[in-house]
Amino acid sequence: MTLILGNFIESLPCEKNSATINLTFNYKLAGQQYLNSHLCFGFTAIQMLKAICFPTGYKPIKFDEIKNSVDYITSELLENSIKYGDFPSLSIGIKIYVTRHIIIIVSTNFITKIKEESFQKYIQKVITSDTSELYLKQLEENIDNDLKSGLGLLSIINDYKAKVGWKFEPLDRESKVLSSVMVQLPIV
Amino acid sequence: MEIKNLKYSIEYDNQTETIYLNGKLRFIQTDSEFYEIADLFRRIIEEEPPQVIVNLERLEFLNSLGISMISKFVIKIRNKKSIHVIVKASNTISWQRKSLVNLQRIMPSLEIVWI
Repeated sequence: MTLILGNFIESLPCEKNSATINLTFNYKLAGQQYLNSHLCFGFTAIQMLKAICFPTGYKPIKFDEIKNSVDYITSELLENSIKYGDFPSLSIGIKIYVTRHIIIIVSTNFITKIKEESFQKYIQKVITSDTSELYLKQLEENIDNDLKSGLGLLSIINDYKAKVGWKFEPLDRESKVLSSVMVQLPIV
Repeated sequence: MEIKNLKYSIEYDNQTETIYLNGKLRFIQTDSEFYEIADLFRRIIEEEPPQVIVNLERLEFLNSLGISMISKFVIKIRNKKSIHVIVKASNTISWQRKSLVNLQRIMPSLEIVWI
């Protein structure tokens, strides 16, 4: 059964002034090289935003800030997909949806059912906690483990003031789950 | 000490006790540089200088693993209670404006100099 947690919009509204781009990466083929591809997503989002906004005369002023925010968020989503995704045939989808007021970024990949359980436990913790306190708590708890961060989603929520939601869709005959993470970044 | 590649450079000047992080720094756990920098931070804490300056003025991008590493460095310094920390930051770089305030939540005496 499909499970939705947090702020996840199942059907993105088909607005007149909106644009969507869908990309799929095959991690096995692209390998580490596309770890740096996040740096093109901000640029792409800005070009989409300009295409939507300029014909109507609306001109957001903080293009650089929006670009950098999209770069950071897609970087974190990609890293999480690589860390927790189901190998060896890891395929990662990235969707960017842009309107004048919001940019929505969705990453999608398969995970195992075992990872789904631990992921959902972590999500419940995020949803039911004060995330700014959880941010500090996680740092203090993992002080002696440099390799453990856990700050990606928390920084997106706290520092970028974005809404985050998750969707889990189990596959009937396999022990895999299609996992999607949605980040809604308001344009201010 | 200096670590340099096409995307970023990290330098420690022990005369001025300043760590310079420049460029676009996107750590992953398998980077050898990640361990070198973690080791540098450990050595600085062990040496216990009276003051450490972390210069981020030219650090355009840092991912959450890098933010975590700097944050843990600050926690360890705070726990020592003997080292003053100054972070030099750029108010034209958006991730710094958004995220560096967390360092002061970790260590209220930490000084951020915005340039």
